[in-house]
Amino acid sequence: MSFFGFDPTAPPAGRNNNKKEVYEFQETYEGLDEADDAFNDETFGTSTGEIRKDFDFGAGAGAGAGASAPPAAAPATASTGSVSQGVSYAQAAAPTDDEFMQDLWGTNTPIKHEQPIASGERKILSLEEIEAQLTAIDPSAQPPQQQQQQPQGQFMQPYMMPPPQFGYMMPPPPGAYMPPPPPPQAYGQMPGWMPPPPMGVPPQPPVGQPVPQQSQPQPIPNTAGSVQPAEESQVQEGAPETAVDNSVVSSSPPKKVDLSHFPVLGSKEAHDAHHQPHRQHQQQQQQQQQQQHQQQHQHNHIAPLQSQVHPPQHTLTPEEQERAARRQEKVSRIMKYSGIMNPKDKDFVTRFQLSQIVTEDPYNEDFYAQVYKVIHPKNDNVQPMGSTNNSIAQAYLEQSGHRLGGRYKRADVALQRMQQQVQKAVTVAKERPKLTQYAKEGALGKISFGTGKKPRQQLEIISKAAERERAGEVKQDKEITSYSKKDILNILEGIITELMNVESETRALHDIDTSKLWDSLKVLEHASCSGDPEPEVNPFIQCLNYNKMLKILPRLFKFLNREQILTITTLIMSNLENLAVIKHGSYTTYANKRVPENIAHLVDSYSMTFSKVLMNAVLDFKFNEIIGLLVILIEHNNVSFVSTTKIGLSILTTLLSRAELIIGEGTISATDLSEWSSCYDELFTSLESRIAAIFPPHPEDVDDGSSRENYVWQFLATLSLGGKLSHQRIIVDEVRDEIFGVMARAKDIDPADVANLYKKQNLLNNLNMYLVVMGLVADENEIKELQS
Amino acid sequence: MSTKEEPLDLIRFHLDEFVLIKLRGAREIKGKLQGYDSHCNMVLSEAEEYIYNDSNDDVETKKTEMVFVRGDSVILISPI
Repeated sequence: MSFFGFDPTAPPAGRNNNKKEVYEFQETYEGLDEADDAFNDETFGTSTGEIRKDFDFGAGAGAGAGASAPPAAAPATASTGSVSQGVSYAQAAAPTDDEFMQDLWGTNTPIKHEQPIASGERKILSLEEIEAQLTAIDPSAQPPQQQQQQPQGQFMQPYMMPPPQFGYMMPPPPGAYMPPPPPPQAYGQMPGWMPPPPMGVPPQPPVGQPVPQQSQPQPIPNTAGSVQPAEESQVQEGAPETAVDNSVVSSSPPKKVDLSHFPVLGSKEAHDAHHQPHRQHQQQQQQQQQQQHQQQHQHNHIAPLQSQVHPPQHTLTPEEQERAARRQEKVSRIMKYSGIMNPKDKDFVTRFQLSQIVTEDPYNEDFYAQVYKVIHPKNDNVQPMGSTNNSIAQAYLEQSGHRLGGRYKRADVALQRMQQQVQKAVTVAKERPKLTQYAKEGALGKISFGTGKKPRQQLEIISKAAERERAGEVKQDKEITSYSKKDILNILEGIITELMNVESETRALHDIDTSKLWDSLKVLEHASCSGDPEPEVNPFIQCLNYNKMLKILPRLFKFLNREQILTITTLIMSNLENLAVIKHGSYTTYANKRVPENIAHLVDSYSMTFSKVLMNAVLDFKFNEIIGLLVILIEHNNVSFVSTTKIGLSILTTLLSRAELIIGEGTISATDLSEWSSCYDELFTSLESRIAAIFPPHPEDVDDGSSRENYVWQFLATLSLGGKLSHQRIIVDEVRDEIFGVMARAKDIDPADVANLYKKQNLLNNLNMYLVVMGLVADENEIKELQS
Repeated sequence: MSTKEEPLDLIRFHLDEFVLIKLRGAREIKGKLQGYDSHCNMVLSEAEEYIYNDSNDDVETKKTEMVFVRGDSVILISPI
């Protein structure tokens, strides 16, 4: 067999002919008569006579299906669209992806579809029968199978793919492809059919349809003509009639009508009529037949229709009629495009939308939704583990107001289908290349991808040169000794990013690599100590001046090991005075002896975060490490200045109280103890004679009695606890005025003022915390020895 | 840490910091930056809006706990 009459044995034309012959593709093709090939029917599943050259590629994939599918495929398409006829929505959508893609590109042979659908209701056809059925599509013959199928097809025929000359995107004529209103119980199942909006006017004919004998804006021939200008010129009788026929079909809803003998608009009979002139004769005969049938039917149908529609209309006032017409016009506008997509199209779109929602990394991309789920667990809807797909599907159905979702009775089916969709979307999303760009082999350009989360980039701004420059910058980075505010903020954001990465890793794995996080902290990058000019201070210390750094401290310390925490604490101790809360946190540096509001705010954040983190960290430290920290603190900072700040004082308290707790355990060696006492002496010496200064001049600001704790008394209690009697005596001497001050303030609170009575108690309790250490107790009038 | 810097990083660095935003229609707004996106849509907390009239002496201020600023009206963003 020679394909297209091409003789492969002949020598190549170019070599024999010396003069160059230019072949026009069209011309070369013209010469080859496909009709000559005997097996084209088998190869393409259709007669080659029907293949034309006015392919419509421009109308997208949907049009591809419509335009390239040979007419022979029409019954197949129609039967898949016949969901209203017993085949459930889910079943109709059941075909696998492969099939779907083949369908989409019109490469599927009709046989494949014919069988499963047919088998549902009829006996399984043999191959011969199927072939017979296929050939029977030829309009000249009407085989028995075809006739059997027809009654079933009467509702679905309007769904049929439009013939090629309709671009898929072209609006169908009003009503031409409109599905007839199915019986009410079928509403839920009809994929393309939306339940008609509630209408005040009873049984309107399906919207926008040219119903004969009614005052419709467009006369029937126009309707057909507007859509099929080409056809009209070719076949003047054919088109209008089929249009009329169609309108009759669709406007006579629940009636079982025998329409099996004549075609519907868009079916291949009409189609063939235009494109197979040599069959014209047969066709015309047939059409005459049809005409006869039609006239019959018109009589049959229009009569009941009239009786249905007209009586109410007669009673309408012109106003009401106008309103009804307007509503009808509006509804027809809405309904204009309904029924264009078949269930698979819809599945495809749904999957596309779902694939934008589905994410592999919900904690990063969907953080707030995840947190919300944790905070508001849905107790009424406890799902078994691993049903994330289900929840996505459920959420999607709820969110999108899907017709089948929510509380409707078909929700379970819809949910099931949606789950499948989600599963597919997840697999697709996983297979999808992660790059945003990739160069396909042989392609001239790069293909770039966009997702909902990361839209396609129009411009890649960073050039190679800029990247090289940047690489150079990184090297220089290490020599930098001073940091601008921007550098610090950059480092800080880097820390946060790394922290989030580590946190999201911990959700998946147990062993995580925190070295990058540690590097981002830049603790060891640049040594500095108290008193250095601000830009040269270690970046980590500078970061601690920002509220957002404080916020992440507790989260950060979870991922650091003991050595790293010790390193950080050491760094902080040697840089205490570089912290804004210490540097600007002492009342002594301000003329009005008050700490400004923004610093006070930062101090509050510190006591909420930093102090707690430090307290936890110190619990892990050994005795000599705490001594070491204290020594560093004393050596690098002006202790008396640090002690005038709230944070400085609470750091001292933390270290001292931990050391004393360890001593209390009694497992400390003598050398350690002597080391400790010399360390304490040093601390006390630097504080001595300035102890009263730790009390801010406005004690009401620090402790008006409303809080249960007072850091100053706490510190004094701890200090006294560690000291010998001589130390305690010195402390009492220095703070005597403060003690009596507190007692006086407690006394000032009127016992009748019940609302503030608790403050009196708090003031005294805080004071007594210190006095108890020395075996004393105070009330508002006097100090007594503690009765044990 | 990625050292790749982008223009919007300047905004990113000021998350949780106070910024001054100049807006079209002679408005300015100060607030703590809670979030932003590539369109410079921003969410500010503790925001204070200043509305200027033709006469300079008359400045309206409006305080808002939390406000969304649509990016298309943003002219300038500056740290305070």
